[in-house]
Amino acid sequence: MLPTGTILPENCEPGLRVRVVGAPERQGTIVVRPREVDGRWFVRVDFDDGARRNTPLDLLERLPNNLDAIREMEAGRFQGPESLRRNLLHEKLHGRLSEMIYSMDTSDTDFLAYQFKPVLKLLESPTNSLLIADEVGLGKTIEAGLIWTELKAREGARSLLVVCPPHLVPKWRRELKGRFGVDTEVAGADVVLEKLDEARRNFSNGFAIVATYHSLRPPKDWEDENSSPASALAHKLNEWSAAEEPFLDLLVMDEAAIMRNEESQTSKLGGLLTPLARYKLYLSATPLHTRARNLFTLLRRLDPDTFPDEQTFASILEANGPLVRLRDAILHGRPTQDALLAHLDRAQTSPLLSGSQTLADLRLRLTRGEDLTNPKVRTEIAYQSERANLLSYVVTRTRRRDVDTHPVLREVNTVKVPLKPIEQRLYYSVTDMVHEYAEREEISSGFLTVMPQRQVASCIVAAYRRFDFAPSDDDEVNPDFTWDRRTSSGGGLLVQFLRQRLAGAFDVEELRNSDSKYEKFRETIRHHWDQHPGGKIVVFAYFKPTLYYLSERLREDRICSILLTGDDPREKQEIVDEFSRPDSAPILLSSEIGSEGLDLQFASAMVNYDLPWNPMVVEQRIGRIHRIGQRADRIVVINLICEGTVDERIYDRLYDRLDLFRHTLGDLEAVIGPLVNELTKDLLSLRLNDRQQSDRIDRTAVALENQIQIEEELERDASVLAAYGDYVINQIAAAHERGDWINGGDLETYVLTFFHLVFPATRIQGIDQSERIFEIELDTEAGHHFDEFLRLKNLRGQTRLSSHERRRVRFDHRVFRTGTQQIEIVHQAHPLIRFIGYHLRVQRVVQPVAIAAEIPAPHRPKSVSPGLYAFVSQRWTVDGLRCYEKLHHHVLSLDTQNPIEESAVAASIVEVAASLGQRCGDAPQPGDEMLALLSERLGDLEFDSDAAFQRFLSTTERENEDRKRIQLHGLNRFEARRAAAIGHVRDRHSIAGRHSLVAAMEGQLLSLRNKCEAQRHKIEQKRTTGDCATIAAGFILTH
Amino acid sequence: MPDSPSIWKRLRGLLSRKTSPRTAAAPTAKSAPSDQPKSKSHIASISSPVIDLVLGLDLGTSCSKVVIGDPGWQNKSLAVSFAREDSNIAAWLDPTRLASEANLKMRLMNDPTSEHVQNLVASYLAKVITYSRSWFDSNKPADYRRREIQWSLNLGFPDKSVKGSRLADAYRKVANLAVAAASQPQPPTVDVMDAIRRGELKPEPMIPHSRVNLYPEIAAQLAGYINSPYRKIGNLLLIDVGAGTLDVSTIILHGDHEQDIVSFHFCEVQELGVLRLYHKRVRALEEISPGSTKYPLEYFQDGSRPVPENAREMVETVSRPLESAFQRASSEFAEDIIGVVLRCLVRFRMSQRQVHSNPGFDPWGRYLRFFLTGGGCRSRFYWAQLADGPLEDRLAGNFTRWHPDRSRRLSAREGLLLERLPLPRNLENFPKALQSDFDRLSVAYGLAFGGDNLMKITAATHK
Repeated sequence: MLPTGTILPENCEPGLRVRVVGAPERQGTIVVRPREVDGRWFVRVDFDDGARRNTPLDLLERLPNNLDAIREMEAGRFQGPESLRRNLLHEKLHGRLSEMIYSMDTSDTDFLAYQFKPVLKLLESPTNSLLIADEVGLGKTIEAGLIWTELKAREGARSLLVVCPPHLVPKWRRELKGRFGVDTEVAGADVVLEKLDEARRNFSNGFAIVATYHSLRPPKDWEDENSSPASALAHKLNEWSAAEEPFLDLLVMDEAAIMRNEESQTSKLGGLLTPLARYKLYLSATPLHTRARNLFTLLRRLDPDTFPDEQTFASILEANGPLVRLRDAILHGRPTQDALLAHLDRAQTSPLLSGSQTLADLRLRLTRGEDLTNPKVRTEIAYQSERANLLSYVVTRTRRRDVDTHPVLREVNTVKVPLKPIEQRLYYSVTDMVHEYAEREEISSGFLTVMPQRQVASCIVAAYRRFDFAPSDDDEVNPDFTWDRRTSSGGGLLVQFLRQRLAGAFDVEELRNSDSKYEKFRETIRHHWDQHPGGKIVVFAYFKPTLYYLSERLREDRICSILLTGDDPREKQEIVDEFSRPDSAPILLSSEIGSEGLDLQFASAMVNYDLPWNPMVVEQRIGRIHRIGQRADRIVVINLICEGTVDERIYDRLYDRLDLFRHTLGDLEAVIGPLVNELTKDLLSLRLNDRQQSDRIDRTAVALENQIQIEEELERDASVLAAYGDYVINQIAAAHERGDWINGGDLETYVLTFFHLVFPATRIQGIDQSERIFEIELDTEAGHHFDEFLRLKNLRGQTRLSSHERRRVRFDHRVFRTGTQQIEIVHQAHPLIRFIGYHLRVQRVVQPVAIAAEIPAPHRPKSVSPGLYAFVSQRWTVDGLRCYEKLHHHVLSLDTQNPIEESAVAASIVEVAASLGQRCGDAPQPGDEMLALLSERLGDLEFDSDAAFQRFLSTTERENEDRKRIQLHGLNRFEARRAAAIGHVRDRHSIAGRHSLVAAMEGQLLSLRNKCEAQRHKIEQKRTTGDCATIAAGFILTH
Repeated sequence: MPDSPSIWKRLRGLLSRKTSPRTAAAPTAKSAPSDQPKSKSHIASISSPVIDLVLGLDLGTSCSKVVIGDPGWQNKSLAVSFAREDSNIAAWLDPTRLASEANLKMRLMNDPTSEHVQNLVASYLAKVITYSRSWFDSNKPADYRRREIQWSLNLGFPDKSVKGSRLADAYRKVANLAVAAASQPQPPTVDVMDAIRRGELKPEPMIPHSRVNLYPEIAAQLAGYINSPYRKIGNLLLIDVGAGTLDVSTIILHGDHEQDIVSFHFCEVQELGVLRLYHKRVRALEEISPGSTKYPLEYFQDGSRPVPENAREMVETVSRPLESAFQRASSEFAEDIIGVVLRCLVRFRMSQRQVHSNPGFDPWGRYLRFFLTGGGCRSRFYWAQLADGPLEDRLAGNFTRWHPDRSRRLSAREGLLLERLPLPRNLENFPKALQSDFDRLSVAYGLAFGGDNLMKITAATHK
């Protein structure tokens, strides 16, 4: 009897799928009938790897339609790592794996695991909403960009709207383009309305818009639709939110704290836009500083149905308390089962958590007496308690101290400059004159009087020259003042007053020659360069004439500098780019314009030539160089302060006492700002002697100290927000370590293999091997299917690939590398990849494989011991309220007979074998008893993996039930809220006798009821079902 | 390479020692016979078939290269390394010489009927074959260890046709002698060759005559390219700069669903290789100042040292007359090589236009793809003449429709389009870092496909 699969010459037809005996990964299609040469039959085979060979017929066997990995093993048909990689890649490129991060290594950013945490959290969020409340400088813009990249790759997201304050528009555009390859347009209300309308009607080819709050926010009289484009936009948004499904793919509201005043028009804009987005992202570094009230306001805007009122929010915070304590206890202590159950009891007393299936499951685990000393059990329980946390789905918060693995030290050098007699004379003359003027004019406002004082403190020469020669209408910005400057008119008159009194009283040249501050400055920077040759230094001063003066003096001393004052017609970033070049000037002289939104981490030293009194302004300045990405171990901050001035007292009694320079202030801006405003006003508008000034400053310092203490307590409480921390970050870091992302080579293999197998007439011509450039001409059938897909998914315009012309493409996963007119970039979100995924989902062409691989010692993951491992890799699919697809690797150490409990470790063994492993050749012949034993063992392992899937399915089912409950609850609230609002308008029309409008409102009400009913039915009907399929099984030897 | 057999041994030990508790207790869902019947026929042995391996041997003027190919079974190729440290290209090249005999290939080409020369070449080839077999035995992947292997030899031949010439007969004779000598235990000396010729030694050849083949080097060189996704059908210019010869071929590449066809048009092989250039320069310098040159020709013969690029590297002190003589010799040589290439191209283009009914037909369009290969092309001199402009300048303007101005040609992507031979994915052991040197091995790599899998070669009738 002939062995199964044997091909005889007489039944060897072109088109027959075959594979090579002993090399089962080599599969192909017979192209011509066989011929006999020297008594041996040969046949021409078109192999799937692109080779076309005359192959002996006895070396081929029929390829069965349905393969089974365990049976393949039993027959000794082992394949190598490349087959494992192909199968894993196939699953990953479907774009549905829940635990795969598709945005990893795609952007022009350094890898920082915490920046992917928001990506995973948003995907997990049942309401698709997230508030990112990271501390300043951790890269919220990058996190938003990663989320956008992820949504494009997973779901083909096409419409993005970023709303931000005006000064952040250039930063958003630059970052999205430079780091993520996203072309944005800046648009006003009219264009935003037009684009949203297109998206709503599904006519849009996609857009990425950056708009300002100012341009979009509705005016107070927005109910009059025609008063302005913003009114028209507000009108439409209001109309759509009542009856439409969300149609905007991603809405990003940056500096969302702006919306904290519920009554403001900006907040109303948030309320109108948010319901229309599928995914909603609020960014704010400061949601906490004025206690929970602000956080509530933001969350209500973000997710009004979960956070309908302050009381509910308070209940949620209260309900979370025991869960946080439970998590901390299991992670950091040695808890007893009773202690944990007590926390759980308290949590379940909350009506919000009493029905939680996740907690019910957790209780079951705890009462079952699981081993609480086992790290895996502890991590799982902690993770489960985090998942039950009602805030963890909506807020993510990362603090610098939690993620900064290489914290940068701040070396603060404060240089006190004794004033020479002539300088002292000028300083006190100006102080006296300002007080005299204020008294004479009966002025109490601080802003007027403060400017000359501050200017002299900044630079005596520059200030005097200003009084002596400058025009009277100069109007400098004082960074310490945030109140309305309209109340501070009359500055010009004061300058005129000073000019009259001071003109000619001092010799400019003499002042220049005896400029103690500049001399100290020069000495300090030279000393710095002795220790850090060539180091870049950023010098800040808020008074522009000071900067021009410094530029002039440095030039005389043959030191190059670059000015950043806002007077240059160039963009800020252009100037920074110039400064960043190694061969460029070593000093940047910047006004306050450079203290926001710029990344200067390539410099490691900064000089405060003058001292803003508001510590937050100083913090902003330092934040330019003390950022994630700073490569130096320490940064140097140099403060220059003139002795005997009020600046010195501010420094000694405020900065020094609170040690403000050494600690990042994080989120204290809103607290510090008003306190310092008040202090500044008092110091300069009241005629206080030195001691009184010191007392006044002390009072502010005490108040600040108290506030800082309160903030620290709040921060401790904010651990409710920091849930979902280490576990997720560790998972992300592990995925990165094992190189678990898709690269250009993967994309090339995926596309080439697909067309070779499915549409072989498609012409794919290699052009450049190192750049992965190919020319693609789709054959008629492929082109037809592709066009149909583009039409169906409304992706026309996103690619120029078609059956009508050849098109050059480059396979590159890095989305920030933009293509050219001639060459289109194919990355994982490209329509071609999505088309292939879509096509293969229907027609799965990749078959399960038996694998024998080994990992050479240099590539063995650190967490894995050398030895032999058996593994089964499965695709787990769960359909329900939330669809879930993941790759599960069940790994068993054959040396110890223990399963690998840590999923990250198990994944690393399989993933590393796939990417860096080698084939184990010389497999035993079929019939060998060992193969039977091995397949039996692997059969058991597959059985265990199936059982693990059943447990996973049950857990997901419970979580889905929880989600179902939350969504139904939210839907009911939404319906009630909208119905009340529509009812209110209807009643007003009814009272005013506008019957046609009453009818329209009735119609809206009915439509709302129908929509909610349908939605309710849909949620209730969603059953959780699942499926698991083995895609590979075998063994891996790690050296 | 990892010690693979021990893996299976270890696995066998682990599996027999530790029986699955579940299996021991009761059959599982997966292993229950009723649930998943395992028919004996399913795992029945398919008899282990014979594996064909091809020894692709490129006999070069200065160096020879060997690639072992498995085109049918695993589609793998392994380049034979001649040194332990293989991160340098020199490790993959074996100087074509015996202890006291050099210039073997040129001698055979010049005097193919000489039995002595044939014996010398056969001795060398036998040495290479023996070494390659033994290298394979110690480096072969585990998959091949228990397989029955059937060897073939595919020897590169320095002409387009392997039939009907004295040189082809000599090559065939030499190849069979070498195989026979490599199949017996004695060192393959000239005396052993004579003994085999006389029938005094009759070793059982490890490769039967029917499996010893010749294949044109120039066509083999393109095999990797033709079997890659980077191949393009159409016109091609191939310039191979060897140590002794400059080999120019104009080619049209066709293809159908069954086989690729390489059609050779106008081709020339001239003794204008890199050693000839050196020789000419030495003569010119010696005429002015006898005994002034530092190195004899033999110093560079094994290809391991780069040939000097300027007069300063050839003599101790460069005087103005020496510099002029060097430049003159170089210019004349440049004219010669450009002349050879132009001759082929002009005839190629004319013939293409003549056969077309439309007199305005432009057979090349905007560009003509070309490959510059061989060890000699590392010389800056050849690059400067052939790839950096002078050749293209001569073609542009009147003869082709390419713009006479080079910068305009560059912006319009017109002219000679230099391409690199792609590094094949299945050449498993060749370091990626040496990608730019792959062309040195490209002939041997192509030969290792085996004759059946290489393209069909046709010669245009007008040749």
